[in-house]
Amino acid sequence: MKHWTVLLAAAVVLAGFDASAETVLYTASRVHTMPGPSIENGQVLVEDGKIVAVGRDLELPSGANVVDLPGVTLLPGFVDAYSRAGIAGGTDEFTREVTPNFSVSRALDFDDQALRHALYQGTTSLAPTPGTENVVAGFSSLVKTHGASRSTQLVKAEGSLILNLCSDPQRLNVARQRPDSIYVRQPTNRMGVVWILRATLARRPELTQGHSVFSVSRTSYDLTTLLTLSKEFGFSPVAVGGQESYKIADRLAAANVPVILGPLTTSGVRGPEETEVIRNAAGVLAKAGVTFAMSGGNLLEQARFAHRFGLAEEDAIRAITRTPAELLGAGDRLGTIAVGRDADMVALSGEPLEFTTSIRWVMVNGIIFGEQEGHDRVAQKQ
Amino acid sequence: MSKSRCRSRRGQLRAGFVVLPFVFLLAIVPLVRAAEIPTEADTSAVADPSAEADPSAEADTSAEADTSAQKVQPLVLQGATIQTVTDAGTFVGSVVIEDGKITAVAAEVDVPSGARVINLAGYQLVPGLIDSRSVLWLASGVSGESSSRGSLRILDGVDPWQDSWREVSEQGVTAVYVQPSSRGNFGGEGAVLRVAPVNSVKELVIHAEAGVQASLGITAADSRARYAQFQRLQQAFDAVDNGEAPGSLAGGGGAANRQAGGRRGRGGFGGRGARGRGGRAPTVTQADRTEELLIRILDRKIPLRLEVHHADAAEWALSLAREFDIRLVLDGMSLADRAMPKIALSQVPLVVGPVWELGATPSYRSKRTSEWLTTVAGATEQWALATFGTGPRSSRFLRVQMAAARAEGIGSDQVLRAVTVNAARILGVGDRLGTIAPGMQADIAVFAGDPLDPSVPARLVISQGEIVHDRDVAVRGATIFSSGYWKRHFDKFGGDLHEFRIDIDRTIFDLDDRPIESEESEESTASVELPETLPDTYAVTTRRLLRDGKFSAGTLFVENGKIVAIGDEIQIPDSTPVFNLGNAVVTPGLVCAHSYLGESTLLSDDTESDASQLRALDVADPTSESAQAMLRGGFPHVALAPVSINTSAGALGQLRLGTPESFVAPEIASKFVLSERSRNTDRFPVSLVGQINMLNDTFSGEPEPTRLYLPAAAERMLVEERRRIIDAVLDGKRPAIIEAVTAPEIRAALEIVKSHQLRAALLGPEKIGSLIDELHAQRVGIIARPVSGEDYDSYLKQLAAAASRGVAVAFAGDSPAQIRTTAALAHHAGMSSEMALLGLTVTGAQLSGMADDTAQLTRGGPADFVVWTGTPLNLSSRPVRVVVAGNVVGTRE
Repeated sequence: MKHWTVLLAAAVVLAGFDASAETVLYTASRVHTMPGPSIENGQVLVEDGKIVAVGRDLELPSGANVVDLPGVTLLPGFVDAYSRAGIAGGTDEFTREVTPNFSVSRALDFDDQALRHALYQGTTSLAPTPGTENVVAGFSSLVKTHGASRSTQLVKAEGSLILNLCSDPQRLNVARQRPDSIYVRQPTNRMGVVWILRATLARRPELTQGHSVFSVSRTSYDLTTLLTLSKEFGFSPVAVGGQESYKIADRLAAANVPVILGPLTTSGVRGPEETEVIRNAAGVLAKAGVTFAMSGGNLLEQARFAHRFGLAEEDAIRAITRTPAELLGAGDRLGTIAVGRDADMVALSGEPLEFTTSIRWVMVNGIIFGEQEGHDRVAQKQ
Repeated sequence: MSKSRCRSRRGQLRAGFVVLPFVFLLAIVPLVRAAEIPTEADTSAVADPSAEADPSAEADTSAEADTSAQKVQPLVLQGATIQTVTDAGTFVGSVVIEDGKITAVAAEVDVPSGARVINLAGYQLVPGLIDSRSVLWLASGVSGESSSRGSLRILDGVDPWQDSWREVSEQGVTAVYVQPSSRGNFGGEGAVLRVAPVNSVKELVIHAEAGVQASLGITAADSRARYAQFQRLQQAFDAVDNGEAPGSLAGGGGAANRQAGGRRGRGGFGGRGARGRGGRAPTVTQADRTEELLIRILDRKIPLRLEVHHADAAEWALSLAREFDIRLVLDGMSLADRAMPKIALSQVPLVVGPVWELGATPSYRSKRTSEWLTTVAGATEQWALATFGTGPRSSRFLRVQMAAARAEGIGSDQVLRAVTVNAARILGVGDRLGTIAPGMQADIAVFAGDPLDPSVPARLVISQGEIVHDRDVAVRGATIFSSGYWKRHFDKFGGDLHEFRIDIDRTIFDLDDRPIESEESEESTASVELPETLPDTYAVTTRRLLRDGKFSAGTLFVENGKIVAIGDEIQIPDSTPVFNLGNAVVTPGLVCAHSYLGESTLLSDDTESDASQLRALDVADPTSESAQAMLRGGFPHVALAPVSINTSAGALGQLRLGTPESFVAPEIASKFVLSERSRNTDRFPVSLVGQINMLNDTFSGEPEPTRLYLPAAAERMLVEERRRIIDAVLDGKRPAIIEAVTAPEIRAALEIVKSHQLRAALLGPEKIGSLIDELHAQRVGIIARPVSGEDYDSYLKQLAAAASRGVAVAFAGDSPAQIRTTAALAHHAGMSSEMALLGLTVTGAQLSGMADDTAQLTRGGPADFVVWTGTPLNLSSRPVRVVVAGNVVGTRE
């Protein structure tokens, strides 16, 4: 019977309720719009995959369907600003140290199961990002986790320049099998990483211009180096990972450097690169006035974790919706429930950050996935 | 003398043991029940030792099948041409199926009330095909597991929820024998399994005691090593026969004796009869397991499936069977032609195959003589044909192997027996499977044409009375009305002409598939009338000449190796000898659009990922065995390619085998690789993005600089040479053959083709589903890689879909078997025969950039053609004469 279950699941996915071509008015107990305060008994009018009206007691256009969602909280679709999903044929061209022409847009795999997995966790957009093996890794993209076609699924082909100012680019070089090879690569220690980055930026200062620059930096000293280099070469970076960013929160706030936190949930006291992690890192950043987002998969759980240890609910939700969308330069389409935005929403069965709350369905471009019960949808033609 | 004495001693021993168990049995049965090892409780027969067949487990399964089928509506298969594979022979009639069993087979039957009647007028009905040795239903990894201690039981490795059965079932196969891997000397029990959707292992099992896997010297270096293995096996049987513990069956020569000696010290073994049936509780150890199995073999409860390939080992195996009076089945027999007379005398049945190699070929099989199969079939009646598959869906090739056997000259009846009644008997299920007769289990396959032609789809497949495959396909054959043959059947059962659907797509080309009343006459026309030595000037005329993918009557007028005239009404001078080939098929010399000719090592050079300057033809050997096999198989035109380990892999070259000047052109196309095969961690590129960047840079005139330490002049030469090759591709003079397998790779390839305006073909694409329109729009063709036992049908169906949307499809492969099988199964999956035949000829030549006149029978062109017994898409046809430059070439003898 196993295969039948799988087939059934696939059929449900493929048959994802297509509301893109019609006008539907959703009425939920609460709507977290994110630009403003949440709306009790709020309404969202969706037409052709876009949000055309948000508020209360909206006027119902003729021919529109009505969907009542009692007890449901609507959130903007989650945005994962740093992901490995959707990249075919390797995430790193690790035969070189500096690969700015590694654009993941060339090898996007929209059939990747990881995209579907993310979709069912409420993530409606994510940034497939090159890996951490190279000092200058290349360019990320920005995609929806579902789309009727490639063009509707691709939000931005070329997103951010990805730097890896951390120990990852040196990690494998120490143990390389062919030290005598003419193909042997650098760096072999952290100073080497900084040197290669500095040399590259000195030679090609235009690399950091015209797009956002993400730098994977986790320890406080790597973050400090990032501040130094950004001042030296005149660019505004976004720190990714940032496990020890809480240590220098004030400096990050002063330099106006946002942080995309890596997964907050951790099993030990040490994070990647032996970083000293604390549970309320997000809370500390919020208090210091640092702009931050959360990444690393299962975003709702990340937000819950942060909220549990001290971050306000609204801040936690913003960190998985509006802020990552803005950091990716797509705030005009993603991350908020507002007029003109893509109809990407998550319907939750209750208070968003409660453990017992589940995801009812996820909407991408007006198309609903994973709707649990058909009777949720009470459609009436007016 | 000594030998006969020895035999009589054994005879006495055995007689003693037959009586002994009876005595023990009465007292011991309850004890044994309690003492038995759990895994065996459901299969080993503890009851009456004289009952060799039908152990209790079988009774259980068949009983269950009966009860589950009771609710099923009776089924009448009406009007099919029934090959009963019994003395009743072949006739047009009906089969009645009730409760999972065949209850009536006759020209006229009484239709039971409430029965579902399926009209099958014109279709061919045969017993469900049985693959006597393959892989199916095995959880991943299990198919490779082996043992030398009999410790494995294949049923423990069966996963009844696998989805692999469908591809196998679609070919009419209803039962498959699986067993532990032949790497082990004494692996354990194999079983006969159903090919049907089930929910438990129990439902799957047709026979749990079908054989014990063993092998004798299949990979041993020499006769001495084989003899050492034989000795160990003999000693083990001997020990158990004398009530002692068997030694190890694994490892080197002397170990067996030492271990056996050491074990003997434990004592307490009360003789064979006592040992197997209790007396003391056996401790569950590996040695006990070996012993247990050996006892059951000695008791003739279960046959020993001994794989041997060498003549000496085969003879030793026979002596083993004689000495211990065991039920023996010999598998393999690749190199045992010399032993065949003795085997024939011994009546020991054989399981042989595969006839055609479709994957990795073990060394013993690659050394087979061309006559091995005819030798086997000529010596004994008792042989079964098996795929010896290793992939999860390998049994789908059973009909390919049947066709190949047919092409080797084995009669159709004999081939069919080898996969039905013979297979069933060898597997111990002859009382239930293998024939169409009342009382037999309803395992039936109905084909839309010749069962021996794997390109003909199955109309209906029935397993234990249950329909497991039902595809509404029309009977193959366009001329059925005129032939009279079908008309007769049709009048009898069909009634209305309009119900008799014709597959329009197939009407054009399936002239060839019409039933030929006498196959012998067809072949004799083909082989006798075209002599092996041809004059300078001659004409060949046939009713089936292949031009542009279609067959029509025509004449070829050949002078000095060239075609001087071709057509259906051409003037031939009276003095010119005309060879009338009658119904024989004449095709252009076929094309393999991408091949390594078995030389993948020679064609590998991984110095740099830009290897544009390399030329495959520089290492070509047109006299090699694989090249000659290609030629004999009807493929004189081969595009030899460098292996896919570099992103820019080098130039393909064209071979025209069978001529002294085989090298036609060293650079007919350039190969590029976007698949993971060229990703090398030691150098750039190691990712798909890197590969794409590298190719874009190369085509933009900024190739990767070489990292080789070369003198300046040499480096300049290298760079210029690469440049020249790439420029030829950019100018459209030569096609780019781009290996791209996954959807992102294919998409990347299409983008490169588009942005650099290349003339291109994709090599080996697998996920083309959503990209077919784009392929068509960009006029990018497909060179299909050979189908394997790993592939799902979707692979072939996508090829067929692409072809039907107008994408050019050609075929790659290292042997005629691989190429023709892929083409035939693509045809089975829905590719029109016209497209498939074009792929084997003109399209193949075009996609790989061969010379314009390659594989086209045109005026002024080279006289390269092949005379076949049927179309190349029918795998039972074989090339009778391969003519290159007007002369017959590649004759075997």
